[in-house]
Amino acid sequence: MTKLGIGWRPEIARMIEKRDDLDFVEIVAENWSPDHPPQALVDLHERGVQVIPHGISLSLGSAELPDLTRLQRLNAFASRFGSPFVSEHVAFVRGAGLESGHLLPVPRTEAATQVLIENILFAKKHLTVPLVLENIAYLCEWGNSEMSEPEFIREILEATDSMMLLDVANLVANAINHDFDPIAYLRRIPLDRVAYVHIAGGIVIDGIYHDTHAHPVSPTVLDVVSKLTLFTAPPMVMLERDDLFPNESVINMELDAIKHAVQPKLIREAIFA
Amino acid sequence: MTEDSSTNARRELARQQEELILALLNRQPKPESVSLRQVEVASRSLLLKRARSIARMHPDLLVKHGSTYLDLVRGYAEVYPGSHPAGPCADAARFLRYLKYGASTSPCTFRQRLGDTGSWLFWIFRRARPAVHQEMSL
Repeated sequence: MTKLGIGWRPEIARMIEKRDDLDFVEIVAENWSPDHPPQALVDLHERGVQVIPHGISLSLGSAELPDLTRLQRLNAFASRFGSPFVSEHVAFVRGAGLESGHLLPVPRTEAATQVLIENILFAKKHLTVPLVLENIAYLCEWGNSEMSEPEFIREILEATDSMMLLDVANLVANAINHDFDPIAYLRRIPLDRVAYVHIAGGIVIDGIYHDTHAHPVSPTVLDVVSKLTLFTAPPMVMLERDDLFPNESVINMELDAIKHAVQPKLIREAIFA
Repeated sequence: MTEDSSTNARRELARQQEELILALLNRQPKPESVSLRQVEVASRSLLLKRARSIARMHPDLLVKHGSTYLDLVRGYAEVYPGSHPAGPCADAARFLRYLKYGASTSPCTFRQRLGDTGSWLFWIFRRARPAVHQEMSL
């Protein structure tokens, strides 16, 4: 049975508290102190809801090794909440002494991939729980790629023996902006390594899809989630909403739609059980 | 990977990433291996994301500065091209200090800003002025 979750944000804490079918929540580790987490989050955890720490600034794809302080922060969260794993992005966020403020793609060259792999192995060595790796949405792409994105993802996951956080909204964003078939992508990545799935909303402006986490989840994203479940049963799926929070009923409808989207596989399991 | 090859790969990666980040932050021309249009779109997206992030911490800024808000963030980004290393909260706090001590607002009309940033501005504004934007769709 696929577990259902949501990104915990203070703006929707009450709605999350009221919903009794949530198995887990994800928190952005950089936004909170592991020593003084929000009481609402503590209450959820005490109720049996799993808490997954999610990093956004490790910059695993940077030229430098990941920062130990940031790794320790993830450890502290995992320890506080007994989390089964932590997650981060396959991306870099800083360089030239500057913070970009956003997740940027690592060049898909053999040399850069090897650096990334070294960094991930370094991070894993210093983490007390497994590190799950997320695919990102990118607006600009390096022109010197030596491998496709699915090949890149597969190589990283296998070389570091890591599980994947498959962000379907990011996948759809890239498929639209860089003109590829998201289902073909799914067929080429190791789906048996998917630990959980992110689902979020976005918006198309001037033909460019922006992964905003502030707009409704599109039918296209839900369709890809549904198709994903024909290939594999993702252990966990969750909704991310970071801004322009609608009223509770809208978020509840989105969660219900996600539950519905992961049904096909469940039905197949029931038939062949 | 040997130590030498790893060092070389890291050096080359650092060079590539520096070029891209500086281009995205409008500090130097784009790298050869990335398309100009993509860099322009990503660069604008970074600025707007930063503006939204600050507005999320201090929604009152949108009410107070209205149509000039984005210009203020743009001016701030020229002085501080990178986000604050300590994260969005620290960046928003630094923006407040910048407004207090360092910003000078150039006059401009809402229509001019709208022409520049299109519906993104509506999105930012809708947070602070929901009643005004209820009838507007993106």
